[in-house]
Formats: sequence, C-alpha cells, structure tokens
Amino acid sequence: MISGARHYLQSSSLKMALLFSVLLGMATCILAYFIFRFSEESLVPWLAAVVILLMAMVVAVSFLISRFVVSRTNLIAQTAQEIMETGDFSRRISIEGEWDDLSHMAQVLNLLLERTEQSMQGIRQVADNIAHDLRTPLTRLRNKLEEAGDSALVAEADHLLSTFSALLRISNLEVGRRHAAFQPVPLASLLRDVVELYEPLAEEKGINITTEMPLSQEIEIEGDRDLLFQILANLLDNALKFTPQNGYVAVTLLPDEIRIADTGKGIAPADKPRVFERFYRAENSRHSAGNGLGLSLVAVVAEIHHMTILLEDNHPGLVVRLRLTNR
Amino acid sequence: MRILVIEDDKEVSTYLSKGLKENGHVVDAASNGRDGLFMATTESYDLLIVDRMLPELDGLTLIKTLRGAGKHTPVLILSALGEVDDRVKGLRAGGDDYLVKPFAFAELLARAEILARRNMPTTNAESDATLASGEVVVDLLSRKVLRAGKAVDLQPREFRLLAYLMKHKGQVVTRTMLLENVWDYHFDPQTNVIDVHISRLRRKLEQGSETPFIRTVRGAGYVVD
Repeated sequence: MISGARHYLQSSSLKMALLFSVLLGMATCILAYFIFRFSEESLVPWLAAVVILLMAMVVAVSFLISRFVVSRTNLIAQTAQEIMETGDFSRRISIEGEWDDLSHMAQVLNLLLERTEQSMQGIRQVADNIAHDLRTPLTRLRNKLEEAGDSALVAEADHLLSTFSALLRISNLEVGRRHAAFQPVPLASLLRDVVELYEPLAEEKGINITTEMPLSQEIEIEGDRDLLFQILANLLDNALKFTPQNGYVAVTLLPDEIRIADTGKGIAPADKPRVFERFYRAENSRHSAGNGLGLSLVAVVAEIHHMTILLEDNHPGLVVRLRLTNR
Repeated sequence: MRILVIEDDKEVSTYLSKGLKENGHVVDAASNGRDGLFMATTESYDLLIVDRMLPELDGLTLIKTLRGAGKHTPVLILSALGEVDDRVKGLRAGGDDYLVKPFAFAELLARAEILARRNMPTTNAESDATLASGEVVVDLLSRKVLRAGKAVDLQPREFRLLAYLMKHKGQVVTRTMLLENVWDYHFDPQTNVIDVHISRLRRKLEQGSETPFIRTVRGAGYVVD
C-alpha cells in the first residue's frame, strides 16, 4: 500500500542533498581554513562572509530542489492512491512538461493505467456477454426443471437466473440509455417509503430504525424513482442484514447527502474499495444471503445520478454516505 | 379466458400456451407481428401476451396500432431487454403490464389473470365501496375493516395491502405485484421484506382462528379466497 503524501523532510532526495551540502560545507571549511591561514588578515571577515553565504546558498538550493521533487512525486502518489480508492481507472496523472524524469515516469504510469482500464473493460464485457448468452438456455432449463417438479433445483435455477438478471441490469445501466425515465424525485418521501417497507423486518430482528429529515424544505433530485428506491432498499437491507439484535440503523437526509448508519459488522478498510465490485463478498459476509451484486447496483445507480458514495466507520458499524453533487 | 400469445420463440410460445391451458384458459398463438395483429383485431380475446421483438411487425407498433383502432384488450408485454426506460416505453405504447424474461411462470400467470379479468363485470353483489371475504369486510370509503363484526385497527399501509388482496379475491398476487401496487415502486427486493408485512396483517386478522385468511401459494405469492 503506497503511503500518502510524504513530508519533504522524509525525502531521500533531501537527505542526499543535505549530505552533499554537508560534504561541500566541510570541503569549504577546510578550504577556508587554508585560505585564512595563508592570506591577509583583513580579508578574513570577507572570506568568512563569502564562505557562509556559499554554504547557505547550497543548503537553500538543496532544500528547494528536494521540495520541488517531493511535491511532484507526492502528486503522483496521491493520484495513484485516489485511483485505487475510487476504482476510477479512467483518471490519469497530470503531466507538467516533458523535460524531466518525473514527467517520463508519469507518462509511463498513465500508459499503465490505460492498459489496466482497457483490460478491466474487456473483462466486464466478457462477463456481460456470458450473462446475456446464457440467460435463454438457463430459462429453458429452469422451465424444464419446473415441469419435472423438482422444487429444490428450481429454486437454485431461480437464484442463478436472478443473479444473471441483476448482472445484466447493472451492465445495461453502465452502458446504455440512462436518462429516459428521469423526473424530479422528492427524496424525503422516498426515504420514508423505504424505511416504512423495512420497518416490520427491522422490528422482527430487534433493530431500531430511526429517520431524520428536514421538515422545512423538500429536497428533490432529477432521477429514476424506481432505481433510487432500489438502491436505498439494497443499502437498508444490508444494514439490517449485518446488524445484530438491539442495534440501530439511522437514516438521515441532509440538503446534500443521504446517510445510512448502522451498528453492525462494518466493512474492513481493506475491503472498502472493493465492495462495489461485482460479486465481491468481504470475508465476513461471504455466507450471508444474496448474490454479491447489491452494492454494484448501488454504485452504478449512484454514478448515473451524479452521487458519490463514501463508506465510513461507525465504531462499531458502517456509515454509507451518498453525496448529492448535482443539485 | 381466451388468451392470444404473440411470440416468435417457439419454445417460449409452447411453454406459455401449455402452462396457461393447464390453468384452464383457451390459448391461441401467433408467431409474428402481422398475424398477431390480424388475429387480435378480428377475434375477441380477454388478454394479449405480446413479445416486444417480433418479426414482420414489432410488439410496440402492434400495440399502438391496436389501440389506435380502438381495441382495448388488456396487453401483457414480454421483453428480453432489461433496460431502464423499456418498461416506460412499453406502457406508454398502450401496454398494461410488462414482464422481463426470465420470469417465473407463476408471476406471468398471476398478472395475466388479473389483467384478463379487468374487463369482466363483477358478478357478485358487492358494491364498489366494500370488499368482503369470509368474516372480513373492508369499507373502502370509510377505510374501516371489520372482522366478524368487530373493528380491526390497521395502519394505512396494512389497509392498502388488505384492500389490494381483497380486490383480487381468488386470484394469486405476487410479491412484485404487491410492491408495484401497494407500495408504488417497481423493484426487486433482496429479502423477504414483503412477507413480514403479510405476517403482521395475518396476525391482526387471523387471531384465534384455525384457517388462514391470507393463503400463501408456494413459489408464487398470496391469495385471499
């Protein structure tokens, strides 16, 4: 894991520069000694001043050079970090000029990112094509199983089919027409409806759901009502799934954010960047119900609605923050 | 009921016809849009099941033409596409309901039966404002529910749920249909979130009685007999 920005005092360039300065300083001192010994008395203060000035310049220049280098490498490291955290491989490192090693390194890194992005897209397409092509034969298989009367197998086939459908839905949303069903969606009533739908389930599990919404203004966004309901339902479903009895789930609506907090298992830092991947199941959720696609759908729908998702710790538990950036 | 299935995929068409016939319906089939339109306009059906992708004349154009000609037969659209705006397009073209393949036959059957019966006159003595089944009476105007003469206290959503089930008395109602009609959202629940609402309603209505008021139909949904 690449650590974040490094302070220039930690920089190896600075250390080398300082070492160089010290050596040069020592050489200067030795030179000065010999000059003083063998030169005129009246020149000593002048020579001393020149020597000190030279040393100061050397130190200053070393400092500036290393700061310059470190700030550039920091930017590269930071961009790389952000790309890994958000999974947004379409981003590139900004390059200033083409004259030095650092811009060359940035160019090479950008090429690497390009290849990675293409590779990921290729994999995604293959998965989507498989899902598409297998859906019809799977449906036929399921129908035949139903005729044969084996309900356990039919249930398995249904589960498989629903996973395929969910996968296709996600890929269609990523690629296809997105805005046809957009209309103004009032978020407060949407959230109230989702909570109301899940309230009996929460009660059964001994979990308390609370909502906090502004009473004064109606917060609306342009969007697809059903898709938004779906992702909020997925998030609330997850919150209830992973929170133990006597825990709570808090749903909050802010002018620029929807927040769902729970007191459940939470998501480990290592898993956080990956939970939105298709089929990714974190270690502690691998055996729970579901197909591992719920959060992938949340990610895609959030993106379509220009919302960013943040995952934070609730100590214990998870806070999912959907930031509305398009109001 | 008389149902016309307009579907070019032979396997799906046979599967649907067979399933619907087994459930007591009379089924005709067409394998392309032109034949389908012809049959739909010259004969009388209670329901049309139309696939979106048809040779010769596509499903949506067929429906639009039908509606333009003044035919109001209920239409259930089948589609292999799953895109966001397809459902909206289908319903705007004049369709009454929309199912994406793959679907469980039980889902199709439930929706088909409800659509087909829409045009039929009510044969019972109930007025439009009350629904009754067994000991339970629902008054839609005053929003009161009585069980064996005694008032039952229901929350607004529970009332809507009961009203919908009773409006379609004797017909199977699937979870997706409940979500669409009682909650007004079209989405795919991950857990059995609807079942818990039904159990709550059951507890209020079945207290002390042996027979269930709301019957679970395995693999399909619920029904109030």
